Amino acid sequence: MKKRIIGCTVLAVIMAFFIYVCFAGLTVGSFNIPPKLGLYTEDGGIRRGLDLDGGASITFEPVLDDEYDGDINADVSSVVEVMRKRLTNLGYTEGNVFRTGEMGITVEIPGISSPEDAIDVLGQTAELAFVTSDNEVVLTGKDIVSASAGYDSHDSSFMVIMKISPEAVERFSEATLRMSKMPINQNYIAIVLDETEIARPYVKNQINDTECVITTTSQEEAVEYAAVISAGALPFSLEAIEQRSIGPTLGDGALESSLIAALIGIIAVIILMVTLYRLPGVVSAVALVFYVSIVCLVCAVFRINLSLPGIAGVILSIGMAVDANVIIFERIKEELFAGKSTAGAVNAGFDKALLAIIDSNITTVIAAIVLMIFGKGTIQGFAVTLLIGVICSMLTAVFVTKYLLRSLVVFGVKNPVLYGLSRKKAELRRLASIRNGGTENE
Amino acid sequence: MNDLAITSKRRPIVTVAIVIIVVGIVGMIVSYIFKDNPDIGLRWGIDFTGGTVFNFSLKRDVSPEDLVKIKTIVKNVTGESPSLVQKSTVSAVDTDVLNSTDIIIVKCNTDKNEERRAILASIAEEFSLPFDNDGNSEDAVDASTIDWLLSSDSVGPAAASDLLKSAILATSVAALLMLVYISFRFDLYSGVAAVVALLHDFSMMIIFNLIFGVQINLPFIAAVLTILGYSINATIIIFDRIRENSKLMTGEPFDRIVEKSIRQTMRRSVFTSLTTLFTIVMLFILSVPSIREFSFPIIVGIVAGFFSSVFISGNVWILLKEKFAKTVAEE
Repeated sequence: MKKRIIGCTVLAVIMAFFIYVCFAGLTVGSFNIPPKLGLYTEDGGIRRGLDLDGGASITFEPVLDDEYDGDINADVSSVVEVMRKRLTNLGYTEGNVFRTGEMGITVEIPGISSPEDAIDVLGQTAELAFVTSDNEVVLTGKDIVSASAGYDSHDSSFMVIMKISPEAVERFSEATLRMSKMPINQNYIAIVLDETEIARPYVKNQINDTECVITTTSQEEAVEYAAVISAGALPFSLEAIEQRSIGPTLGDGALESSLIAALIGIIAVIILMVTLYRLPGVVSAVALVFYVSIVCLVCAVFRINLSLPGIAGVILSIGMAVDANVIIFERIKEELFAGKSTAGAVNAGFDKALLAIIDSNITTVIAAIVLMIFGKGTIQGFAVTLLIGVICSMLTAVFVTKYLLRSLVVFGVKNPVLYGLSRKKAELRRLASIRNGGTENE
Repeated sequence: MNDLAITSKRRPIVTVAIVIIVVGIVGMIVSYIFKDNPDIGLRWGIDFTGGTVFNFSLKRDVSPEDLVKIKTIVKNVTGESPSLVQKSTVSAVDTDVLNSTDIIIVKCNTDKNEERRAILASIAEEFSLPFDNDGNSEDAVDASTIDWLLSSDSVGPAAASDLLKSAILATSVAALLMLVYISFRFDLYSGVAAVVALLHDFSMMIIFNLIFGVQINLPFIAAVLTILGYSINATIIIFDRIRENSKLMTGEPFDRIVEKSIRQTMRRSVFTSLTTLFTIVMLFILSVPSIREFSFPIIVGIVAGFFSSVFISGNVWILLKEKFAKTVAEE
C-alpha cells in the first residue's frame, strides 16, 4: 500500500516533469531541449520539415552515357560538395545537401516556393579553373585526371594529390615556374569553381609532372578541395529528376492546423474512453497524455525532422495507442462478468491481453520498418514517427495503465460498475455469485 | 439474430470479398494503363506517372472561366492539354495574403524546368499576379518566392518509374512478412486468410480513391502499409481468441468457435476503429490537400479493415480448413 502510494506519486511527478519540459524546455550541460520542443526555433529540438516551413527540395541525378567507367560513389560525393559551395554562393546558407539512393543528390532550400532559377544554377556543370595571380587560366576541368585527399605520415600533414593529363603538363610547368618566382602573397594559383575562389595554394617550386600535391591545414580541407577539383572533371551532366516545393503561406497553416487536429483527436479519444470504461478510461487518458509527452520528447531529443506525414504518423499512433487499452479493458469487463474478483479480473485482463497486444503491434512495426527502408523523403519521416509512436504506446499503454489500475485496486476501488460493467450486468454478476454459494469477494 | 449469423453466411461473404479484390486490382491496372488519358487516368499522381502539379491561388475567388484560361495557357506552353485543372478550397491558408480559400490545382505532363517557369510566368501575367522568376541567378534568393504559389511538385519519368517500383516492392515485402509472421504464430491457413482480408482492404482503398478522384501518390502507399499493419492487428486479436477458445471449446465445430470469438472481440474491434477514426478524420478535415491524399485512404482502410477482420478473415479460415479437412478425408 505504502509502496503504491510512493510509486504513484513518483509517476505523477515524472509525468508533470515531462509535460513541463515539453512546454518550457530543459537545459542540462550540453543537453538541450528548447521551449515548445524547439518547434518554433532553430536551435535544437524538433526540426521542421520543408513542408511545414515552406521551401523546395530538388533531387538531381547524373546523366551517364555508356562510356562512363568512373567511380560513381566518389563522383556523386564530389557533386554533393559542389552543391554545398553553390548553395553558399547563392546565399542559401540554411540549405541542406544530402545523397538519396544510389546516385541521387537532394538539395533542400527553405523559404523558396518556385525553384526554377535555383535548379538552373545548381544543376549546371561545374566550371573549374586554376587561375594564376596574374589572371591566367592554367588548367580547367578537362585537364584534371583525378584528385584525392591524402596524408603524409613523415611530417603529419594533409594534402590533395592531383593528377593532370600529360597534355597539360607543359602549361602547368610554365605557370608554376613563373608563380614560384613571384613576390610573396602573389605566388599562388587559385582554385576557382563557378567563378568563385575556393582556395589559394601558394607555389613553392616549378611542377613538371602529371602528379602534384597541394598541402592543406586539415583533413576536412583536403577532402573538400579534392571533391571540388574532381567535380570539375566529372564526365557527366546533372538532371533534376524530382522537385517539390511548398510556399510559406501553406507551410505556416499546415503546422497549426495539424496540431489543432491532434488536440481535438486526443480530447475525442479521451471522452470516448471515459464514457466506455469509466475509471480505467480515466487511467488510459492519463497514460495517453503521458504517451504524447514521451513521443514529443523523443522527437525533440533525437532531433527528428518533422514533416506533415510525420505529424500524421504521431496522430495516427494516438488512436492506435488506446487500442492496447481497449483490448485490456474489454478483457477486464469480461472477466468481471464471468465472476472474477476485481483484483483477479484486472490481473487476468492484462495477462491474457498482453500476447495479443504484442502480436498486433509487431505487424505495425513490420510495416513501419519496410516503409523506412523502401520509402523516400517525407514518407520515411512518417515511418519514423509511426515506429516511435507504436513502441512508446505499447510501453505506456501496458506498463503505466497496468501499474495505475493495480494501484487503484490496492487502494480499495473495487466496484465493478466503476470498471465499466453496466449496472444491470453488475447486478447479474452479484446474484450469480450468491447463487453459486460464493460470498461476495469484493 | 441466429447463433451463427456471421459464419453461416461465409460463402456469400467470401464471394463478395473476392469480387471486391478482383474489381480493385483490375481497376488499379486498367487505370494505370490509361494513366495518360485525362478522363480515366486522373487518379495516378505525378509520383508514379511523372509530370508537374501546381497548387496556387489567384488571390481572389475562382470562377469557371479562370479554369478555361489556365487550360489554354498550359496548352500554349507545353503543346498538350493539362490532364487536370481543378478548383479546390483549403482552410489552412493565410487569407490575409491570399484573400480567398479557393485554390487551383493544375496537373500537366511536363517535367521541364523552362516550361514550368513559362507556365507560371503566363499565369502571373494573365491574372496580374507578381512574378520575378526570370532565370537570372543573381536574384534567385528572394525572387523565387511567389506568394500565390502554394506548392509545385515535379517528377521526371525515370524517377516516377523508380518510385513505382519501390512502392510495389515495399507493399509486397510488407504483405509477405505479415503472411510469414501470422503463419508462424498460427498456421498457414490463417496466414492466407489474413492476406485475403488485407487484399480486400487494399482493393477498397484503391476503389474509393478511383471513385472519389483522390490522387494516388507516395502518401497512398504509406496509407496502404499503415492499414496493412493496422487491419492485420484486428485480425490477429480475433485469431488469438479463436485459438484460446479452441482449447476451451474442444469438440465444438470450428465455425461455432470462430463465431463466438468474433462476437467476444466485437466491441474491441468497433471501439479501436472508432478511436483511430476520430483522430484521422480530424486530420482530414483540418489539414492541407497533400495530407488528404494520405488521410482519405486511411479512413477508407480503417472502415474496410474493420469489416475484413470481423467478416472476412475468420470465414476464409473456416473455408480453407473445411477444404483441407475434406482433402485429407478423401485421401
